[in-house]
Amino acid sequence: MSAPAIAVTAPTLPAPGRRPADRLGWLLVAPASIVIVALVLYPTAVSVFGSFQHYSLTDQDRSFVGLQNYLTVLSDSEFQRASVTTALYFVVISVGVLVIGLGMALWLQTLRGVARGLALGVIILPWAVPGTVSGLLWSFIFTPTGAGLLNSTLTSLHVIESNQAWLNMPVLGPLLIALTVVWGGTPLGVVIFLAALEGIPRDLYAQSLVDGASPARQFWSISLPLLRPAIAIVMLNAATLAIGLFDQVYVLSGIDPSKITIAASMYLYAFRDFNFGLGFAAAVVAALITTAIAVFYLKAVYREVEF
Amino acid sequence: MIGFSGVHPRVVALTAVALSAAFFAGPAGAADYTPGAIDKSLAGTTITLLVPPWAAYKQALLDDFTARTGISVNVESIDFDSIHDKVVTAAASGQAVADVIELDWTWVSQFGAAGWLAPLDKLLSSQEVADAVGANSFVFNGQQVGLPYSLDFRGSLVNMTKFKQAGLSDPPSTWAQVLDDAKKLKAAGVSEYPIALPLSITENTSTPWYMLVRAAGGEVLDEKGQPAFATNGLGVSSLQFIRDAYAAGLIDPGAIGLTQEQVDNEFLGGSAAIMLSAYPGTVNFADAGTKGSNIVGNELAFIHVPGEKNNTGGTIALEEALAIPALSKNQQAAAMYLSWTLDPNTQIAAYKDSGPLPTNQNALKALSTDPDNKVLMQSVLNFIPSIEPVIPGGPPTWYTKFSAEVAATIQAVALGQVTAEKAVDDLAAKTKQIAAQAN
Repeated sequence: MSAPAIAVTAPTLPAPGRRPADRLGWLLVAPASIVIVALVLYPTAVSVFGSFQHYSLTDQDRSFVGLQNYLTVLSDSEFQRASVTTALYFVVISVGVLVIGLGMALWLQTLRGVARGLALGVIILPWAVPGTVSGLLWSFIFTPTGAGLLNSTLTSLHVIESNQAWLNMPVLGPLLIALTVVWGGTPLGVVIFLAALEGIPRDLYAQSLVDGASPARQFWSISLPLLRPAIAIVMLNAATLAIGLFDQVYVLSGIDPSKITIAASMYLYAFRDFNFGLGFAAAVVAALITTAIAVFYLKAVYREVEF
Repeated sequence: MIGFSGVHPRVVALTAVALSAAFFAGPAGAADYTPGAIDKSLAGTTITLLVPPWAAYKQALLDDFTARTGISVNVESIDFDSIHDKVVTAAASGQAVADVIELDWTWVSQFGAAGWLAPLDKLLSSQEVADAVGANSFVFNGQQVGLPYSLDFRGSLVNMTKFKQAGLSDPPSTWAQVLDDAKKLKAAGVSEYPIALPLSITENTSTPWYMLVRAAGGEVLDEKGQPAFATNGLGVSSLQFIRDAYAAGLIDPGAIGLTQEQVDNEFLGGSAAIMLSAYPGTVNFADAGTKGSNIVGNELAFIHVPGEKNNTGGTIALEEALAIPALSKNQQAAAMYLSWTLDPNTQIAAYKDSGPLPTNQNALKALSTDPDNKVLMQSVLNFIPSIEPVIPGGPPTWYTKFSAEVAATIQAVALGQVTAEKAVDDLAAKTKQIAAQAN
């Protein structure tokens, strides 16, 4: 008598993508994907395509012009000047956000309980102020008459004898505008740095104390290396703030050629000159610069940290 | 094959009929519409307005329009600069941002060339257009594309009370006299900065310079858009005048960063004695702001802007108009709103309600008998024959870029960063370059 045969069959699995869990996954990412396609990828594609076209609102010609728009933009003295100004904003904003943000985060780390919550709340406030509103607030401070807060304060302290047009000064003007951006951009840096500092195990500091490390040595040898991911993120955020800077500049100085940025140039090409082709080309140039900076930061600054 | 398989044929047919009807129907309107009539032929329609705050009439006044026409009005009032961008964004994407929009004189050529403005010739009566002062600034390719509702030109406002305190009995008529008088006002301690003049890099700095050149009998740009200021000699002399005034401390040093409103306030606040290039409505004693100013009770004069050798060129029109987007579906109802806005009674009521200076000549004449407005309105009426467009033939499509260059040039000259001669040479070269790029 032969033993009964046992049939072994492989379980039937749905094809990849048809499993209920897969469908749920697609469903969950669908809203975000649709938003990204509609608000990021599609406009990007339109901008890149339009940058190779003659695209003026005052005529119907949409012919392909190759790299002509890029050549026009890059050889335009206004755009070149805006690029230099943007570079200045970039340096000041990056250094400002990095140094002040890290300094405030280190200070906050020394506080405990209600004091830390209160201080953090106050520090975060400027982050909630939109760029245009921030520009208006600062304009009251820099107003070049006696009504300006800075002029009236310095006059009453006998620091200045007559009212000054602060924002019209060749170097100080752009510097002050950059500082208004630092004021609004630093809180995010503080939050990122504080979170990163809180994530560093305390026993690392305790062990270093046993080895006789001073607080400065602890900062340079423990905190700073372990903050590299946070530094990269904060610097990248500062770079996008500088390259995309428009509202504060527009509110504080209008279309002053010595203060406009690359982002303001895009606006002027498109909305003042009605030349969307040049506007698209300037936007693509700005996007490429931002991407290059992001890649550099990720390669040179960012490091995976494991504890 | 792409087809309509699976869709009921009746649905396809109904959709096609509906789309065809929508396509061929065009803008909604009445068959018996009469241009210029303010009646109930379009009752039940609702129109939208996109206008700056000073053109957003109070609800009580708008209720009068609705009562007379049965047309409802939704007003969106935003700041002047944002209107331009909003119109551009909507029109570039094939939408009418509203049925009635603000149209500044500087936007006419760009909006006209883009085909965004509905011709008004068949929507308004020829008499309405003729009655509106400065309507010729809103003609593009021979068609009326906007109707001015706010009379804006430039004269000089002089505070004669302050002049007399400094021993000056007459207002100045030449640039040299302006400088002399201002020095006397400053020396007498009547005014630290007697001349109110904006010098920030904005359109408000460019227009006073156009006015100075016009007052001296010249043009800034000729009919072909060429830099006339470089060949008539007035570019250099007018810029030198500004430099002299600024260098002598006769203009507030902070003027390089002041807005037009802040410069207005220097005059209204009594710190300046002469506002060289002033909007006639700057002093509106029907307005609460002026009533509360420091110059109430002062003797004021509104005179032609001084020229190099007296005013020989009249004044410039800087008006604002209402226009109808070509894509508006309610063009007739929108035109009826324009007709109502231009009605003398509406304009008088709006002006007395802190609104703009009327453009209808009958409204101005009526206001000139009003005790509160008599002096100003009589001056305004005297100006009317000399009001001409800033640029003969209208602003070129590249005007706004040119204007920004002008403002930057004026500021650089005022600060002494460049001489008037070099500034004019550079500006002329830049103007030609901008024009060549645009063409």
